[in-house]
Amino acid sequence: MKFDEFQKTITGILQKVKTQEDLTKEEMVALLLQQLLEEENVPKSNQ
Amino acid sequence: MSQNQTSSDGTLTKTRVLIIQLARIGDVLQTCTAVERAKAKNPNSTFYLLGRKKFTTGLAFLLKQTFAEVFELPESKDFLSSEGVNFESFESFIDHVNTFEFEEIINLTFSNSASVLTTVINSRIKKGIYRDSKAIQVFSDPWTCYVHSTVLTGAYNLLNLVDLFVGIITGSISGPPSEAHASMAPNGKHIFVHPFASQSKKFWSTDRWCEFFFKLMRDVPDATIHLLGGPSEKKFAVNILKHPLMRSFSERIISHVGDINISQIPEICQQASLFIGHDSMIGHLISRSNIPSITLALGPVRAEETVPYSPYSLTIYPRTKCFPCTVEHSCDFYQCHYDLMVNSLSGLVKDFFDTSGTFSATEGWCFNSALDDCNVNIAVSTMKHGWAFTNLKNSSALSFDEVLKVFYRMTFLKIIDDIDVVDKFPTIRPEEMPLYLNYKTTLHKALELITFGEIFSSQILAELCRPNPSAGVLQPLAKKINEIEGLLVMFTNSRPGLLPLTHYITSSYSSRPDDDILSQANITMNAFIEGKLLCHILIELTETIIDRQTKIQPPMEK
Repeated sequence: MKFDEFQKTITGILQKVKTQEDLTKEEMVALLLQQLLEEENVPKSNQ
Repeated sequence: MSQNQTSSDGTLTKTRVLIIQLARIGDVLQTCTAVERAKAKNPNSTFYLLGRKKFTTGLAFLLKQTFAEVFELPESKDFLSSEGVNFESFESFIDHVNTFEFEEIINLTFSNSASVLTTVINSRIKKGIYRDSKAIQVFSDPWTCYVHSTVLTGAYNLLNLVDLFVGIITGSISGPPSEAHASMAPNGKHIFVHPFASQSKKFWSTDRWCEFFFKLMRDVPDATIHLLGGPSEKKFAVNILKHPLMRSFSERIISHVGDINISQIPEICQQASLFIGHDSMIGHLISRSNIPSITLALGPVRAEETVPYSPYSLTIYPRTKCFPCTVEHSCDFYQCHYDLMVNSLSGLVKDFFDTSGTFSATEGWCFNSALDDCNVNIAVSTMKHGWAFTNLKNSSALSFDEVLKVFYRMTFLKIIDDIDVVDKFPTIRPEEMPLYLNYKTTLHKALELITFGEIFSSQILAELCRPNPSAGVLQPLAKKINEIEGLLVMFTNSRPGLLPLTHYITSSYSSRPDDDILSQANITMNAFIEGKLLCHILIELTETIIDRQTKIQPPMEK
């Protein structure tokens, strides 16, 4: 998955979280990867 | 924990329990100790561990004795390449873990990623924090609720992290009591020291350590110091070895810093008579061998919570007003580092060698009464109850916040675990009497709100049990519960001492995973009933302390 595609997916997931919609298992896994990247301070240029 | 299952041939199959620990290596070690205790209580469970590879690999020699398998989560950057995100590879890691079909998952990490990870792994029973289908954080077990209400919201917890983990895993912190040997009869005078920690806030400067070493070498002339540390700490060790104060003692300081790996530490420390260090993984590792240890707690370290889990452990910390701070708190001048005097530590070490390290089953580490009036707090743990009972040993009178910690330990242990803590009633500082009077008034006001909460939630429950519950009746009652919750939050903002109480009540029902409306109403009512009990116990304790103080010092007549 290209970086911009992943970023787009995450933006969509965060929007669903904000509006309190149910997430699919795949979306939850993507959210997990995003949070791990955030916690481990992976440089933005890499994302 | 869940019941064991019986397979088709009638044999008992062990319950597969996955523990999630994504925090640092010290937390992985504490998790390991907790699981060993949990295994002793539940021998028919098989434990697995999921941790970050960078924090589990070094401990493989230990983890393989406790866990059936360790799943090592690679660093997230390993899922990135110049092409983009290797999402499939990340998904297959999760899928692999899911093939084990765990009966129970227990998340012992209080981070966002760990709660989502707990959600994406399948299991019927989940403990610790995880997410519901809308990714909202939820939890349902009382020990997680306790951690959420005391550890994460302030510094009102007196229980050791290992016991909190045992509580979350097994539902109760109690276990078989273990006693300390009366005397350790020091094996020579080899003192192992890890004078570093993960953040500068948490460890003394080179100058301070060298000042201590200089004093120690003179006070205990036949002592040898062994420095411990990892490769990244080598530069600090060089500064110590080259320090002018160390010149005359160079042959009595041996540095192992950067030269040995973690698995070699227990072996090399077999000759240790004493370990001294800050809050770090090495302290936790060495305490597993029952080597007496002195921990210097500084900066954001919560002394009672993170001390090595051992009856031979002693923690020394300053009485600085802002101690303990938080990891995020910025500080230009580490006042707590200066308030923890070199003399206090050297006095303890000298006392240890003078008395051959004496320990008592009921009192823990015994030290010379001459240290009673030093400028630091000395916390000592005993294992007489089957969990680490930590108390301050050198304070004749406790501060208001310290007394609240003792009160919260007594009340929560009674409510959650039905444990009656037999403890000496703390002596308070007379000048802090107004704080207790104010606290008592506040508790009475909180009790009033909680009682209303109980009444309204029981009315909701009664309405729901009718054949045709009316929305017209339920909605105003639910609104009232929300108002009470809002008032409790508002009330607590101005009185932080109440936070553990109010937070425990509200999170007991509002952080539950999706339940049907009837169960939700039942849980809400029980939360208020439990809150009332907590409040009554706290009021009784506060009144007793006020009465005792009034008898000692009757108020002056007008």
